[in-house]
Amino acid sequence: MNLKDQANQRKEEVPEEFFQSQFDQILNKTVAISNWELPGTRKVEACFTVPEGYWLQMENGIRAKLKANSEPAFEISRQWKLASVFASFLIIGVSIVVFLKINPDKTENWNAKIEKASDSEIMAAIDLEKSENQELALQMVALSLKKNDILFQPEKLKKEDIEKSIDDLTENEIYNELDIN
Amino acid sequence: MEIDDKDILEKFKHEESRQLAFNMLIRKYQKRVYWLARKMVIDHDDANDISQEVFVKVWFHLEDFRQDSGLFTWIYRITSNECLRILKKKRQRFFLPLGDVEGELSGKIQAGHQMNGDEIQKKLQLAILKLPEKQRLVFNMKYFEEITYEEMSVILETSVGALKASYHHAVQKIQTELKLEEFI
Repeated sequence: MNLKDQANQRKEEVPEEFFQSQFDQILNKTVAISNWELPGTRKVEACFTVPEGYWLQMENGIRAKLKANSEPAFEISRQWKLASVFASFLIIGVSIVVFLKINPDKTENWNAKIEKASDSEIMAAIDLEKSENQELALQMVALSLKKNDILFQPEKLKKEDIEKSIDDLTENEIYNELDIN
Repeated sequence: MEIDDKDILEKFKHEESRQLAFNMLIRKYQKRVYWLARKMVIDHDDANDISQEVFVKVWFHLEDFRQDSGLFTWIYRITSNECLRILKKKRQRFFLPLGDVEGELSGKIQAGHQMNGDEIQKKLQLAILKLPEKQRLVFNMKYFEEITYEEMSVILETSVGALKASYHHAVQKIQTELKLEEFI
């Protein structure tokens, strides 16, 4: 039991000097720590081995490093950054060109085909009377056309175009947007 | 006679005297930078790499130095950051946990190639190595370099109170460690 508790138990007032003595103890402890010293250990430099003539060697080493880095480090990194951005653009550009060559814009060809086809050819292709799933097919075509920002004109569509436009749709789009069960 | 920092900075501003100013700066600070690094990394080659890197950084960035703090404080900040960076790199390179890097450094002290002090010096260094890196930095700066808490606060960007607490804990841990070794 500490002094304060003992005093409390005796219902005595804690003497004023008690706090001062506590404060002094803490202060002494802190000062003792900050002045702590293990005799003979402050000059540790003498204990570490350093090669003879080292300080001059260090100076020469710094100069050699500076010579090797005659361009500031951040300039080099900026150049690298620019080069990598340029290379990225180049790769993206080449990829787009290659992609377009391999996959020509289907919509464009499809549009051109529709434009060239005669009305009778188009009507024959759609053949509303014969197709059992025509409504569904038309819905899909409408969705595909919407995706490609093309006006929906069923009377100008051909059978292959309807099939193609269905191919353009993903399975999810068919199931989610057309509510097929 | 010690060269004045203002003189160095003034000379560094001019192209014709820049090299001279830099030489003056190296001569003035090379030992302090090296010893701070050496106490942190123990190994001479690592301390040499850190010192050279510090001065290369000083060369490239001295123009940007805003003189909010003293030149010495600024160089010490670069040095302490570089020490912490090298220790981190060592851990990453060998995928080592913190204790293993310190274990490796302890091994270097015990082998005696890096240090030829008496037994008490070695014991103290081994006890210091058991401290966390930042606490070790604080202890080295206060105990060996006798840097004030106010200066340290600028160097390590930490409050004076936190540094005092850190030093207090460091001393207590070292005392406990040395007591275990029956040196006190």
